[in-house]
Amino acid sequence: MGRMDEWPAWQRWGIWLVGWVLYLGPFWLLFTTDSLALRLVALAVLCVGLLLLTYSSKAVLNERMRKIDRWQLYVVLPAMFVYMLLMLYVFPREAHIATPWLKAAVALSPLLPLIFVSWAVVRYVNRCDEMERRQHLEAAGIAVIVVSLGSMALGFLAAAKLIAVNGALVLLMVFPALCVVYGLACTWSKWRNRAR
Amino acid sequence: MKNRVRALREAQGWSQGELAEHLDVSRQTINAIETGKYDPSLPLAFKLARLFKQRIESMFEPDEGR
Repeated sequence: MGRMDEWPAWQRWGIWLVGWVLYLGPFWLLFTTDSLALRLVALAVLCVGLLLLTYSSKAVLNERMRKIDRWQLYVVLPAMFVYMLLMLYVFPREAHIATPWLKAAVALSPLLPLIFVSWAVVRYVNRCDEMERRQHLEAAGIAVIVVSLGSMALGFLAAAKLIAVNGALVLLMVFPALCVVYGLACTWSKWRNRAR
Repeated sequence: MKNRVRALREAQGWSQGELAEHLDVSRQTINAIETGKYDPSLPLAFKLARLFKQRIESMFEPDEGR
């Protein structure tokens, strides 16, 4: 088989597409089914999709998976699996708990894997090479600017009573929004340097 | 900064990926150095010079226009 970055382009792009299907399909299933067994299967398939996506995203940019890339993947993937489980099955339980400290503990439980993921990302960036660290710094800067301006814009519109904003939902979306913009900025930066 | 990294790499018959493995950096970093989009740090420039058995000033030349 050899390394994926040495495969023909059509095979690398093919695996990349399969990765997206295995990622988005179960994601859709998670929100549309109530069956516990189906949800667990969807989560497992989603993890396989993420694994394929990570490997093939490197390969389509003619980049090999290094030891640090594999380390990050095998640390972050289980943590995200735990996060999804907590979000699906533990967090909703807080509505049925009366004791304040227990309610707070259950409501904050999804933070634990996210703190772990944040530590893993910092460790990964520290082990990247010098140009990659600069790319990560630029991406983090872009993410902060975009999300800050977006939330300010929402705040101004809400203050002018042009839109109604759910405060809890907006606060919950800050971290995912930062991650998405950071990821897109990193991808854009890597795409610019993809040519051989 | 102008550099002769691409010419030296091709003279060795290495791909960008192979050079990246020798230097323990990513392939895109090699690509960015070769295309002049990124100037390497002194430690990386010295690693490159040692690998190609060159003097550092023979590999990198300041771009007077910038």
